[in-house]
Amino acid sequence: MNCAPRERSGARFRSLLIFPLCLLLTPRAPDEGSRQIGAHEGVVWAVAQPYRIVFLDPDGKGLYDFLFQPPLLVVVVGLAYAVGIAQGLVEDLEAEGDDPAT
Amino acid sequence: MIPRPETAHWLAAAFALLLGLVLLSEVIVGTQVFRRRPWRAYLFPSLALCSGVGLWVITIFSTFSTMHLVAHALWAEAAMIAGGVQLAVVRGKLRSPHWSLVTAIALLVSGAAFLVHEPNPWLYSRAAFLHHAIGWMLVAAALFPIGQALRPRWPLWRAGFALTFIVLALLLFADRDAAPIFGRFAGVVAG
Repeated sequence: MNCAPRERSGARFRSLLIFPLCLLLTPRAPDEGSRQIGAHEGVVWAVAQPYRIVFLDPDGKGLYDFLFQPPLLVVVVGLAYAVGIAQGLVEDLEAEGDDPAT
Repeated sequence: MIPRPETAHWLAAAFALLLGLVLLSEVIVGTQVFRRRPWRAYLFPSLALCSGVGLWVITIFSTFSTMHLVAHALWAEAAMIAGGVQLAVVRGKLRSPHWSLVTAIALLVSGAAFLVHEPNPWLYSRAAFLHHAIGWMLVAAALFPIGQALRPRWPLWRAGFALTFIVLALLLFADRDAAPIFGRFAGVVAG
């Protein structure tokens, strides 16, 4: 019995699970075409709590305040995850789904 | 030049978020796909080891209080030992699933250190509340690696372990050195 279509749909399903992580944390979707997505978690946080962005009110702030701003840290982590890990994972998932041996 | 505690906590939160995402990715795609590129297998143990090194740096800055110094040193040791053991497991030097118990002990020790070095009661301030919450969460989360040691194939343990780091990141990002528990919402929400 050939179960390749079922495996392919399984890989697609898992790609869809990885996708929300990127959607939440990064400005880029990892799927084909790499569409730009406007909203991501760090930016949403920055809009919800603008007083946590030191650049908007720099008076009396030190070096560490400028370097480590929580919403921007989330954006950095999201970008690192999307570029370094998620894209390769989705490629491997699709390769796994297309591989008739699997 | 010494950073404020909340700054160090936010940096730790970013690291915990990355760790959680890496672990969650492996749960979602499965170990077979995750390890198609060998370097990804070493990602979590290496990050845990690096977090231990970072915690030693924080320990150096924690000379203002013996309890804080000891607590941060304990976290650093726990992270490095757990990361080192996981590196050996990934490399194939250690084969038994029971090595997950080392991670469980690391979580237990870390949770206990969070609880012991916080002298104030739960509702004293946001920092006190979060230290208690994180401490008990880590103690409870030690169940996940224990489950992994006993039933390695059950995905619930790995998912719970991954989500532990995501929740840890959320709690650490919420930390402020001096603030009421609900901050700007203190007038709206009792606390």
